[in-house]
Amino acid sequence: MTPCLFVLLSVAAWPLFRTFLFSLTDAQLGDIPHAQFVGFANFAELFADDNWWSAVKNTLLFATFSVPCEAILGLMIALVLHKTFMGRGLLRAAVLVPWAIPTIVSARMWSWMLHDVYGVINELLVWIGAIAAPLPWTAAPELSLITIVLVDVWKTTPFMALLLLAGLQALPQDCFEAALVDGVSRKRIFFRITLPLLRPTLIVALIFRTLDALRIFDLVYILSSGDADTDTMSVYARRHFVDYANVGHGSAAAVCLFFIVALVTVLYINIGRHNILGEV
Amino acid sequence: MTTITLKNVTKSVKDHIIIDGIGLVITGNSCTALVGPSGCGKSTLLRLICGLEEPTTGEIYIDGQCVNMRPPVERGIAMVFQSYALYPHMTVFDNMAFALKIAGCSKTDIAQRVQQTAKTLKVEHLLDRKPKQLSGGQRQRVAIGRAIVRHPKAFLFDEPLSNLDAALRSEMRYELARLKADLNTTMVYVTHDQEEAMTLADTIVVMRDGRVEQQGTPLELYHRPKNLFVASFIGSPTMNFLQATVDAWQEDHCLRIRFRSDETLLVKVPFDALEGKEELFSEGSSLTIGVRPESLEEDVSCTDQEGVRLNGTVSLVENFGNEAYVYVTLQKGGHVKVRLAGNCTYEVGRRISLFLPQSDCHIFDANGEAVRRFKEESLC
Amino acid sequence: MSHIVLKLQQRARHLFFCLFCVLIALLCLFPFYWAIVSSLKSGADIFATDLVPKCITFQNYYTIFQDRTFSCALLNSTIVSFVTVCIALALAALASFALARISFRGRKRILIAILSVTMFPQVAVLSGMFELIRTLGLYNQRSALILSYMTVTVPFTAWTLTSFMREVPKELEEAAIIDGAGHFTILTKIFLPIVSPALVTTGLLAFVAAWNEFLFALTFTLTNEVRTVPVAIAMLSGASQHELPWGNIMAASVLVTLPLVALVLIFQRRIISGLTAGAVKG
Repeated sequence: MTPCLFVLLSVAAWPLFRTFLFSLTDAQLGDIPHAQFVGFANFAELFADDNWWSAVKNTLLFATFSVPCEAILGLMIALVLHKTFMGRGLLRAAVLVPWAIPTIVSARMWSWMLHDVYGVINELLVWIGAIAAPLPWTAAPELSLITIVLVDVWKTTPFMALLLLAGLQALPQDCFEAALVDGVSRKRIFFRITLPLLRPTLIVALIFRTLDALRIFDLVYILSSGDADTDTMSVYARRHFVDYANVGHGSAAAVCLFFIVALVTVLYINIGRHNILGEV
Repeated sequence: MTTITLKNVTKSVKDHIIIDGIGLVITGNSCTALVGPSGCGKSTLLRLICGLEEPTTGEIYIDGQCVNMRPPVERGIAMVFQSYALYPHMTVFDNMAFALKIAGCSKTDIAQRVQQTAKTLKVEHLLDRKPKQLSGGQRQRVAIGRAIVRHPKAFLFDEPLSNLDAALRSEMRYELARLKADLNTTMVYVTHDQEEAMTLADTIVVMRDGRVEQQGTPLELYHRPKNLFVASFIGSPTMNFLQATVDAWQEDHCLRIRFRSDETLLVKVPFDALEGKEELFSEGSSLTIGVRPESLEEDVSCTDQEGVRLNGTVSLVENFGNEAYVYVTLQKGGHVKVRLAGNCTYEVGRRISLFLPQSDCHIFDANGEAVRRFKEESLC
Repeated sequence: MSHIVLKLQQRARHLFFCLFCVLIALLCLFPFYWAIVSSLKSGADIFATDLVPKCITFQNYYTIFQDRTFSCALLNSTIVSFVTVCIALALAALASFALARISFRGRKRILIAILSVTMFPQVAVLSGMFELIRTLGLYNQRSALILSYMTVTVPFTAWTLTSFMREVPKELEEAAIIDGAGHFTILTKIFLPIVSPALVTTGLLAFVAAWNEFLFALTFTLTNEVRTVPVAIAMLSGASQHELPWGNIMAASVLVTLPLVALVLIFQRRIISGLTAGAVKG
């Protein structure tokens, strides 16, 4: 117990604490020890930075689009996998593949598939006539958010699906059998029995995914290739910390992100609790 | 010859009292059964004895030594769990050898002791198997073997048969009885099944709400239950209870009881049995009369004994062939079940007249306490 | 009549269901398939969108092993992930045993703290961790990565293992106590063997997490000798931004992914149970 706690304290709590401190100083990357205390100057600077606000906006947009998509698709896949049919094991294995592929690799794969000139997806879309000319999926800032959401949905829907599948399988089977015997329609069974029973699992899955979405870094880093317009909060923080060597500013951004994540967690937990209480 | 003594033991978790001041002597070389409904604290009592839990107050003595602060191993006690708690990743041999290994016995010693134990329990051919590959009865034997192999001062059993199906249960009950005779050590046996307790135990301790209601031999409990609770708990099918009132006292310790049907019955009661609670036996105070189903007779001609006649109609019959349980709705209210011969047919709705012999009445006062009777002195 | 209509409806529904399944499988697998196909094309072929390569060459694979960057990265990734998993499991096993089995004050709070560490953004510890690594003199070394990966893997493994350990019946532990086993014996002789499938699962998940980690790997390394594969792939570039060596990138991607996909397919059930143990029972 003690060694684990010690390690956790030293690799999580202590750095976190230092980050908080740095956010109040003018520390530079090359010269951390001589940092001066500057109070909340970094935060003032941060809040005056348009790029920061665009990063906040991007992150929130990303989370609000990707998480519901993943939840709905994940639920659909979970429902399919919940049935017994030939090849179910194969399909489940197939669904696991995107989860196993490293984020960086999937980002690269997709950016290749979405390549504006040679990409197979543009080719396909032009062929079926959905678009007139190839689109610059990753290069254009207004499209790249869509692209990032798309790739993230592809990559993490499996995780969602598996969580929900486990939730589905843990539900008491006799409820459904009773409903079938009573002649309740499939639609009603889904909305009146499955969804309410699945709600706790769904909430847990949503919390996990939202927090994951808020800290997204690697996908954006690869897919948007260095354009400040498409930064998310994590990318913004790291950019200032490493590329601009401004430890104080980057830390301030990181601290803000930390608080946003904490806020979302608290919100979710309260909503979840309220829902559970409401049922009783 | 290991005696376990509990002195004023209480156990509470937060504000909830589980064991409420129990004083108990469990005599050596005998089997004591702790029975009671679920939640009465019998399992907790067992865990206190073996040291898995610490008493809140009071002392526990094993062989005269206070073991409150001793860890379970040092108490020299073995326990058989309800779920058997066999280590799933070890073979039967390793399961039985685990405690010996920890105790630092030599390898040959361990092998010999395990072999010997396996032999007495007839599980020698299973020693290389994992618990998963065993049937319920075999697991049970291994669990017992794991306890025996340590040569403990006392064995504790926590509902050992409740996970088995009915047929296997009676078989294992027989095995346990045999084992009890062979081992000749102190055994404490927790069960909620009074039948198991009646057949296996030398002494039964009936518990309710963390207290001991009565301690005694099976026959003592059966024939002389101290109160309504024990009377209703011991015996299957359960005792019948009839509402009655004190009608009058007559000379020579005779109490006249008036039933709802206005029938009266004279019973002899020693006066010293009523000491301190005379007001409960004043005229008109209510009583409960307990009658075992087998005490009632359907015989109109039976008049040589003193007793009372109960009239009613048959409302349900459970005929097992060798015997039949007949549920009778009495005139003026009340129900009784009667054990009758199985070779007759009893139609539902038929009028029936039952005879209740005076000597088989258990009398309980308004507080549920039993009244001692003269004839009991001669019994047992 | 209505009988036939019903039957047709059923058929249609079944067909639709099958199509949906195929669609899911296709969507999940196509990108990976495309990466494989692209990696096997060479020269100008790669820019043609044939679904099956005209001629298969291993030229791209040959190229990425030409300079030492990629093989070095593979080695680094393997070492770092492996060591991380071992340390994380050892620490987490001790911690989760205590958390799941020994009741002490503040246990719940520690659990919540552990859970929240798995949730918080890694960027938040980035500058603090950077300072720590600098002070310890580990910058641009594999040990820096191992240390920083602890932030990600230890809480996660501890949490998952705790939920597994909780499932071990209490009676087993009590039986062991009566048999005379101490805490340490109970852990090593009873609990660890029983939860060993869970250890494998958790280890796998931690391995995948460490193998895929990018932010710390990118920030705490400087030279090719210590970079891990994800960083190496991210750094693969051609003469200019728009002339990425796609064939090489795809070849590298396939190579990195294959072991993971193989692991996932072999341990499918285990991984699913691990993912859900960590989450659903939380």
